[in-house]
Amino acid sequence: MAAYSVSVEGVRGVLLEVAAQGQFLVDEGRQLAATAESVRGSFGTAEDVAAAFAGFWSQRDQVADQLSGTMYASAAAVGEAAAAFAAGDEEMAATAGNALHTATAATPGPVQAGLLRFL
Amino acid sequence: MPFPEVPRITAGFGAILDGAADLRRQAGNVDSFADAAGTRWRAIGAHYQEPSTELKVLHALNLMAAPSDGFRDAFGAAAAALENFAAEAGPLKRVLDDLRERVARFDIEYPPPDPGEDGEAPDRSSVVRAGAQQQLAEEIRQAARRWRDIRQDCVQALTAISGGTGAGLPRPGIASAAALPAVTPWAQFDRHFDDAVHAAAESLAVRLAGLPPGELQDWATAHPDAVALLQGNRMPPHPPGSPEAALDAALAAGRGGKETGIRGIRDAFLALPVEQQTKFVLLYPALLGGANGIPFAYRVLANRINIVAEQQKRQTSLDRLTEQLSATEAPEPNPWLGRAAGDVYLQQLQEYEELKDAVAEERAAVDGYQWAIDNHRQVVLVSDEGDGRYVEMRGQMSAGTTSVFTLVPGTGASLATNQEYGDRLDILYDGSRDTVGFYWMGADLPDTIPDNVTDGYSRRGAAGLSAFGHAAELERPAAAVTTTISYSAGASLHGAAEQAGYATDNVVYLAPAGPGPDIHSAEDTGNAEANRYWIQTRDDPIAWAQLLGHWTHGGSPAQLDAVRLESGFAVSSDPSSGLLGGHTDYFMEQSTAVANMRAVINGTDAVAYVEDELAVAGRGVVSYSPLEADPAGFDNWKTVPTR
Repeated sequence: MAAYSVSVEGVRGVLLEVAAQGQFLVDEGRQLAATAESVRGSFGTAEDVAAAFAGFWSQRDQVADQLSGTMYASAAAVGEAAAAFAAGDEEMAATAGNALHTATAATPGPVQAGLLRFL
Repeated sequence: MPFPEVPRITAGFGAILDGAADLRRQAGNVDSFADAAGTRWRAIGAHYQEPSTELKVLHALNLMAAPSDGFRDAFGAAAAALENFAAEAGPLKRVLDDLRERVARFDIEYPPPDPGEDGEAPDRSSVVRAGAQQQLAEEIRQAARRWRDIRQDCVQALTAISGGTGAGLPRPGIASAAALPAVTPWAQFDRHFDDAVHAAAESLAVRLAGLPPGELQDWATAHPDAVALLQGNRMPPHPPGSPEAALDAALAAGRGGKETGIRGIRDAFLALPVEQQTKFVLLYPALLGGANGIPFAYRVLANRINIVAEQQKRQTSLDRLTEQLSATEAPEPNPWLGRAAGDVYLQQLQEYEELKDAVAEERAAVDGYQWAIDNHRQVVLVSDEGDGRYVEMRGQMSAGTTSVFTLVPGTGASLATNQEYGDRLDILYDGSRDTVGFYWMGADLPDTIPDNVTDGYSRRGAAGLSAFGHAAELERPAAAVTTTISYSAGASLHGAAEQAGYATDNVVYLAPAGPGPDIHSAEDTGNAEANRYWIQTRDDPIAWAQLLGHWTHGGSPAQLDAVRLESGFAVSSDPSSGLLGGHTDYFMEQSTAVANMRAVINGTDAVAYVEDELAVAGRGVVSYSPLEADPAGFDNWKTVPTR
């Protein structure tokens, strides 16, 4: 394994801050859903507008959860990878890295030679 | 005459406008939280450096930026469409209501003509009515068209919004993103992280348990990340009835330091499967390294980890303070400015000096730990509590152990003196397989003799020494002879611990501040059976503290029938080496004082104190020490059996 420096406590501190934002995001997403539901019922006889709004919302009603889920999966995988690397356990790190890769499959991030060794 | 139907608008425009504002704000907040998460995430680069994965980790949340921006923008566009709808449909609703009113009143305003005879020419009112009717009908048709257009515009605006659908984000529940939880359990994230740490720590502990014992310290030094991982590992709940759960409960019950609690910890640990015991202390070093009741040999293993972690913490603190000091200019006095400026200068000077002292203290602590690490000392307690705690052991407890001694340090002991006291422990420890020696700095000690003017240090430290004593007693063979050598302020602390239940067979007061608070007889200690000895040079300044402090640190050792032993020469067999003097000579390796301490530990004969004698001088009588008067010629040595 290449030389590394992984501070589990440092990573924990960062991820717990991210977790707080994730919780805020989930809560806000729930409020947004309640608002959307309320708006959808406000059009009265403008049923075509209500239908259009319902269509708009139905394409986006999962996005807040997707954002939060992406954060969670990434944070969980990085937490596991950090712990595994700190423990010097390549096999566990690779497993956690696969989870991160799955969670962030669409990440456009920089391409580096050897980058995908574990992820 | 029929009119076209007047459309009805029943939308709640207030609710729509409020809802539009909320949608815009809430979607904006979702984006802000996603951005904030991304911003905070980037700090991970400082803590996660692993060449093959760090860039991927650093950019893991990048894919959220565009979707969350698109989400915000989509709801902004939708809100605008709804606001336009409300802005245009609201006034139209009033128009339609007016038209409906006009239709209702039309026949009143334009009464229909009486039915006349056929062929009669329409009168003027009929013509007017027809015109008004046509006009009203046209207005209704226009308004209806307008209503349809407003709706269509809004429908088109909403359906034209294409972004913000989360394209590019993994979706929960589909095969390609199985890692995403259906409901994000952020509330359990901390626990999830702990579980991950625990799993990694467990795999690590299993591997470490297989290391040859001598290699563990070197491994810990070379793997600071792993050390931090193990030290931060928390014990997860174990099934009720399991040995782990029993140990967890025993640790909680034993925190008070009472003998029964410590016995419970020991019993619970020994109930673990033997093959699990080593792994367990490596898995939870912070929890078990200092726990009285855990066998000392296992505490040593745990503290191979803990001491490196503690040193890292101190090094981090030292780095921060050093940086702070280098960024601080030494204050310069300016005699040309007034008194207020002088006060500011003095304040700044004091803060500057305190910062320098803090740097020096941290550096000394780092060095103290480094010495212990480099020399593979067997540490049985290390922590950053108070000024720092450090207890080490020489030898190994075994069924063959016949003598156990403990050195309790005195004024000035700190992490900075680890080497100094470690050397002293080495001097007292003879290296035999049947002796075990401890250096116990399990409490804060005063920095200077005047700092010890109250009994505060003694009383605060007593419980720790007492608990340690219980742990040692449980582990040593019952026949082993125990000795406590308590030095300077440590003697008073030792006395307070005796009152709390600490007991050894022998006590050596070494230049003691006193035998302990409120102790004026052997009975006052609660350990009246102990054999007590006292070593002190003739000119030790502690004598002044003994005089001044007798009401805080107890009476004279003589009141406890302590047998005074000779401090003697720097080299016991060589009078020309000089008599020991002052407060710090006692641990010179070949000195009479050390020989006497060893004699008590080993149960051999010690050299008795050479008492002063009286002599007539002029018209008076003076007291003098025959040993001081003629060191080389003195030959009236007496010995004292110590067992």
